[in-house]
Amino acid sequence: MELAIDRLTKQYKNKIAVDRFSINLKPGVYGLLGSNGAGKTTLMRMICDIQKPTSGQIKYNGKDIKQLGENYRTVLGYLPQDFGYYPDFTAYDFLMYIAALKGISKEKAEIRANELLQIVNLDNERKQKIKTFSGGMKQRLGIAQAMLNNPKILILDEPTAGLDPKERVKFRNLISSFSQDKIVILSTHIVSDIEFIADRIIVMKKGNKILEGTPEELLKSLNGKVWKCTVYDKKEVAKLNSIYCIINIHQENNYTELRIVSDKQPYLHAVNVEPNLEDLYLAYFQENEK
Amino acid sequence: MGTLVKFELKKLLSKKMNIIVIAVCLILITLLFSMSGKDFLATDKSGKLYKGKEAISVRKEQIKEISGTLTNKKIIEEIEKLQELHNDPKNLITNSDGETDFNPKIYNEYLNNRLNLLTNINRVYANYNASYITELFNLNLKEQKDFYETRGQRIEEKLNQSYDGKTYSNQEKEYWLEKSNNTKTPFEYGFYYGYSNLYSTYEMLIIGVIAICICLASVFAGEYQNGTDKILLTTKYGKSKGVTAKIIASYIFATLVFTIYLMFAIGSVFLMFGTDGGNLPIQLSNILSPYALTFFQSLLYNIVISYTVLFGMVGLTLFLSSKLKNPMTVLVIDIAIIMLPVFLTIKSAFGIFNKILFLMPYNAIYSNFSQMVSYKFGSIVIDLPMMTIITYIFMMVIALICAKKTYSKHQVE
Repeated sequence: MELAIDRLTKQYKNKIAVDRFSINLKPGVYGLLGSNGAGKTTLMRMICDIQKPTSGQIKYNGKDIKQLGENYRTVLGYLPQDFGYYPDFTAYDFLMYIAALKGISKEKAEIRANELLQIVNLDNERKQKIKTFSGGMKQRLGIAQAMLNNPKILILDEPTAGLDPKERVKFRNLISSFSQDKIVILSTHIVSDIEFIADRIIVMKKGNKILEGTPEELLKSLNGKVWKCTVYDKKEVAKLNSIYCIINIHQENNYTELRIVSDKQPYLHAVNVEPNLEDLYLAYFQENEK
Repeated sequence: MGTLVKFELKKLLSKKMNIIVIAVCLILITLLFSMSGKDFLATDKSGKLYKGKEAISVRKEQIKEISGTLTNKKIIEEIEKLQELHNDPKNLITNSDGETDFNPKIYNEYLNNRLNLLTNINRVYANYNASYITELFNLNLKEQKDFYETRGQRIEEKLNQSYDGKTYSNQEKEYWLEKSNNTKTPFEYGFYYGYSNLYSTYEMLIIGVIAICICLASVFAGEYQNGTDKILLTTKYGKSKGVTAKIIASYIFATLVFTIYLMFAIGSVFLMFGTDGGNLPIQLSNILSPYALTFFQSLLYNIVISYTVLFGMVGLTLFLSSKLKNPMTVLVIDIAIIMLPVFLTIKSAFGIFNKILFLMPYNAIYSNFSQMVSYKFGSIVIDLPMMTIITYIFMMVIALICAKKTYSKHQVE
């Protein structure tokens, strides 16, 4: 199974949202990282065939998704970033409706809907109208609908938005167990969401793919470059901030702890620490901004 | 498909706003259609005034006295009797404008139940725009031909007349004359007030069409507005069966609601007036009508017309809903199209502007089968009721094709 994106571009009047984006996706979990406006949502919508690219092509197993039509959408599951529900539908009704649209038989849909409601912890609220749901509950229902047809390609746009820490962990486990032999693309700007489950990470900026690789590959480039130091003088903190890429500033009563990305030791007592994805993400984005 | 249609219907019926709109409109329709019966007035021979159902019973009895076949002989007798009464000064009074008319006694004893019939006779023999019987008082009966022959001549006269320099083509004349010749004569006379009162309010069913359009404005636009389109359009049948299900559900919804409106509208009138007169010719309400229809047949025809107008407007609403992002915009355009003819006057049966106006929803939903409005396409002549049906079916088909295409190609924002 392969999803090939070839020089995909989306241009609005005077803004390029996605710029000649190319990638070949094989089964696995892909974390799409990028700041707001990086083009993640537009890219995902084009993959879902609900936004027309200005140019470029998306092929599923060698065939254009436009031509595949229903056959492509059969293998697709999509959770949009922000979307609406039918307030007077119950959670169960909503899943049964989406299941019917996905072409799942009533018998199978009933089993699958019940199963997913249990997984996303909405089993007790299945007969409750969606208008009574909290943001997190709606998000969980959104995740359930995306997975109804056991999709081979699962696109999740900001799936953890509105979820509490416990639900996030549950979500990560769900994706990990689900992703076998499937292409899962999930976008976020919360690095920790994908740190543990993404097989590969794609970093987007201004519509371009600026980095791509496994977490290990990407972190390798930061080995020996992440420093931690304690500074007692506030003027010194300001000076360091103006020179280096500061990942984190932690203020205490009479001292400040800094996490810095730098090729050389930035401060006399700075010590080398293990890099993580957040360092990579922030370093990359801050560097380019400076 | 059945499951999808069921869910689409659930969406429509679970919206509180829709339920309120349907209920308010039903109350309004019932009130409007029952008003004619409740306010109906009639006086008996002694001059006693009756109102509502009692008045209807009085009038029914009065009409019975003159019911039967309107032979030429009977018509001449009616005119002779009228002239005889008019020639006796004791029966007359002079009103404030100096005009003479029958006194109240003659009105109550003789004219009350005959006024409609005599006005129709007057339209044939003297003035086809008459709303009263003045010309009959001095009509020279010896100069007059057979009533039905004269009626035919009047229709021919109307067909040969020029309206602002515009005339009927020969094909149109032939069409209308042939249609008129098919009317069965002599006419039967009787009580038909249920039908005439139903028709005096029938166009108010447009309120029902508006209510249905309000409910359906969000079928597609509501999905765009809520953002549910992002999910629906990525599903297997989201761009195919899903759209068809929306359309089918919309039509089931529209048919059900409109049928309820029709039942309440017709029921409100017939409960008061009864269904008498269904077998009588529509010429009793307009003597020069060229349509060979009974009141019952004309009601069936009108029901078909109103359903096609409804279906056409539902199609248009769905198309607008698929095209526009906001149900409110859909509604504004819908109401403008429906209500525009209320503010525009139709001056004649000629000219593109007038002919289009005849086909606008407010005018088209009801046909009184009296005007000779025709549409000529080459050698084919189509009358207004048939043209209405063709137009709205055509509009429905085109609008639905466009709606389906627009929605399935919709790009989310």
